[in-house]
Amino acid sequence: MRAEIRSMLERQADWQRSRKEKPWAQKLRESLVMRRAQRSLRSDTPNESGSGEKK
Amino acid sequence: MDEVAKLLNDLVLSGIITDYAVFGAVAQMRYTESVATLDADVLVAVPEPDAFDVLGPIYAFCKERGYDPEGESIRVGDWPVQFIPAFNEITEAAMREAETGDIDGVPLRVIRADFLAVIALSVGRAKDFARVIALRETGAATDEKIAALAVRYDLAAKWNSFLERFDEG
Repeated sequence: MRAEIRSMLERQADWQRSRKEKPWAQKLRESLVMRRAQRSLRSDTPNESGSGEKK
Repeated sequence: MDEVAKLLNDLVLSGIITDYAVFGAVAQMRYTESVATLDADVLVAVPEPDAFDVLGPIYAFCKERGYDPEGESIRVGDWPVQFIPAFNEITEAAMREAETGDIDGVPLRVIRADFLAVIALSVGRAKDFARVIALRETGAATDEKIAALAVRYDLAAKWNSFLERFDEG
C-alpha cells in the first residue's frame, strides 16, 4: 500500500479513536443536530421546476 | 435519549418486555463518532413471543405515557423509536449479552460492538460495511472477536469476503 494512503488511513483511525472518548449522550445530541441540518438543507433545495419553492 | 432510556427501563419494570437492547446507529455511537440517523432501533424480548400482536402491549404502554405512533415507530421526544422483536439467533444473543451504557445518568442497554459488527456483516449494505469499518478503526470491535462471532453464527464467508474487499493490511 502506498505510504500516503496508509498515512491517511492511520489519521482516520486516530480521529475515530479520539471521538470514541466523548460521552455517548453527547454524540447522540450531535446526531440530532446532524439530522436537523440535513433536513434544513433538503428543505432549502429548489425543486426540479427551478421555481425555488420549498420541498 | 434519556427519555427513551427511561421508557425502556419502565417497560421492563412493568413486565411488558423481558429484555431490550439498542442496536443500529444509536448503539454504534457508543463506540465511534456521531453519525446521522433517523431513528433509534431497539431489540426487545416479550413474555409471549408467539402472540398475534407481539408489539401491541408495548404500543399501548407508550400510548398511556403520551407517546404516539409515527409510521412504524413511536415518537419519544426527539427520537422515533422502532421496537423490533429479536428475530434470529444472533440478535437474541446480542440482546442477552448486551452491556449497560449511561445516558446522562440513566442506564441504557446496548449491544456490544462485536455483535453490532457481525449483525452489520449479516445485513451487508454499504452503510453496514461502513459501520464495521468504523468499529474496527476505534478498536471497539477487534478482528478476533468479530471472527469468533462470525464462525459461531455461520458468517465466516461474509467476514472473509469483507476482509478481502476492505482490509487495508
